[in-house]
Amino acid sequence: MKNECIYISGRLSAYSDKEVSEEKRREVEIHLETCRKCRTKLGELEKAGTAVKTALSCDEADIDFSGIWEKIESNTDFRPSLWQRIIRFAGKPVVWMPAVFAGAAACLLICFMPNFHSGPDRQTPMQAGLVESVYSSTGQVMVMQTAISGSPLIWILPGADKEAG
Amino acid sequence: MSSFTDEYLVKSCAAGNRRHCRLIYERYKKLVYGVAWKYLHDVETVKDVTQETFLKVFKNLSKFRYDSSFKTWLARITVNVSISHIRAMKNRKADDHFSLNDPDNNRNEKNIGEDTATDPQSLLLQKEKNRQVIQAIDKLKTEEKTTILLWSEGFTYAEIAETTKTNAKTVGTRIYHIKMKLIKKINASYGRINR
Repeated sequence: MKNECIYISGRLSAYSDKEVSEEKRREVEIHLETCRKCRTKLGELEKAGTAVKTALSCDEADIDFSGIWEKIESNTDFRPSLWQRIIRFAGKPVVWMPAVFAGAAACLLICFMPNFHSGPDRQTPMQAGLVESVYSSTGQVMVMQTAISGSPLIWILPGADKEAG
Repeated sequence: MSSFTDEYLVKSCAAGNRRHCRLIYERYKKLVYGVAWKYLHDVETVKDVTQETFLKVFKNLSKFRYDSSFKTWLARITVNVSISHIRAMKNRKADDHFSLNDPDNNRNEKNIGEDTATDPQSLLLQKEKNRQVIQAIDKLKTEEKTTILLWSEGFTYAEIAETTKTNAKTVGTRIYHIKMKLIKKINASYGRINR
């Protein structure tokens, strides 16, 4: 019985603070039913707790909480700093991930553009600076000669029959 | 009281929402004041501590990482600010030891124990008992003092453990030993505690 008292009395404070499991609570209560000494100790612990709470209590009715807030408000810049805003922006993957992907795609496009145009099977646009001469009387048929190939290029546009005539 | 979660309010306040900062203040002003009061027992100093605590909180809100609850983070700041105020007051009154039961500090005596005593004799006895309790708490080690002060403010063992960076079992043991000390102290002064 004495050992049980030692075991239970170590749990009485937590029991009075409702900080024990349901199983332990039942255990303590069963013991308390038969042990006057532990019941007395529980009473003392509860009174000690009440004494602490009473001694340290404060009346909040007269406190000027609005006045305190006004002082806090006048001394606080609630806006986040520039650095905090940058950190917050970087911390949101949803915001910057599409931008990163778009940038990467643009880079890739720029990098592969020359290859795209200079491939062996690709038709390179004619460089205007290399055109040597243009012949046309009506604008319907145009004959151009470039410096690279030396051979003339002929465009036949709608209404070209008038030119032929 | 608003139904917003602490996490939502903290994020919103950190983003600069003044209205939500006010809601945080409204939600926790009594807790901060109550904890500071338990340390300092001086109306003006406690107001200063409350103000300083919230200023610190709003300034550092973006650093709060949710590895603890906002309540315990706030309590830890309040405890630290209160302790630094006690130290500052001790330094100012180098010859005059400042403590919770210092009769010279501007204590709001009417708050202490009025609800438990009505006639003048009982009131006097209650005040004396309160003084003894406060004196006993004042002699505790810092971590024990913080534990019992937070406990008296209604913190659970888990919350105290989170605030004081220990575990709930240690908190339970500390509270038990503090209560036992108080029982001995009060019994020595007044006979049985329930008298």
